[in-house]
Amino acid sequence: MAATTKRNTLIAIIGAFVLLACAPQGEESVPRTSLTLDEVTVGELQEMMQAGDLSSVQLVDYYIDRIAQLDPQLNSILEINPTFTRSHGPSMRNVSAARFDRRSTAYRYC
Amino acid sequence: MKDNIDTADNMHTTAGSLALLDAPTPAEDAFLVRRLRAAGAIILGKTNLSEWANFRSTSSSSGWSGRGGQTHDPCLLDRSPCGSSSSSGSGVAVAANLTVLAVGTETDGSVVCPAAFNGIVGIKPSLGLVSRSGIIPIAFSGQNSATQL
Repeated sequence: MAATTKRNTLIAIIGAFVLLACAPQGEESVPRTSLTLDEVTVGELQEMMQAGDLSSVQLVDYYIDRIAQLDPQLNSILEINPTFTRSHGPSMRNVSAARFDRRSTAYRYC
Repeated sequence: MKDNIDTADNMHTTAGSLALLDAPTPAEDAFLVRRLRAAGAIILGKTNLSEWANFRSTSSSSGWSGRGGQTHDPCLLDRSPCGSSSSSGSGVAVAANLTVLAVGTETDGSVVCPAAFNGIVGIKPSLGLVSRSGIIPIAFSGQNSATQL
């Protein structure tokens, strides 16, 4: 039992490294707005906007870029408001139209 | 915004069902959408859900809809975003930082369960505190709008 668990853990660790190595690198994976808004709250966003450090257009672009990057594997979004997708091309009007291979296991989206 | 909540703009409101894809746009925003827009919120999009908010079956797949397919747990893609609930897309979108806030609906665990599974906070207000007008119902007795963040 213990040996099996250990082996499974090792396989999981190796798997995680392989996935990290396969993570997309370079320009394509960097959101266009180059903002970092992890764990940001509504209050902080409001402060940034009031201080002139962030516009609503930048914010929407940031999230649309993240959706384009990640959601093909998550399937959490049915539709982006088309009002905001003109600059992102017709393919973004219905995200679910573009599907990646979702069978792989990954740990890097949350 | 979970896809069972009316938006009177150029987005669909389908509860995840292909049957409503060609339905007329709702005449007005749901109450909570109106309030959010009035407060300056931007409605970025509609989220995937258990089709018809889990009305298809008592053992239907959480986060699956005919229109959107299966929602995946962002921490572990081959796992369920929640064991028994329907606001999975809203929970996953917040967990993966695809938006800062998401609105789901809950009759029995549909917000708090995906919130728990995805490591985020889900708030279920007391029944009736937020008007349910403009939400596609599964039961007139209980569905509640709630926020995930």
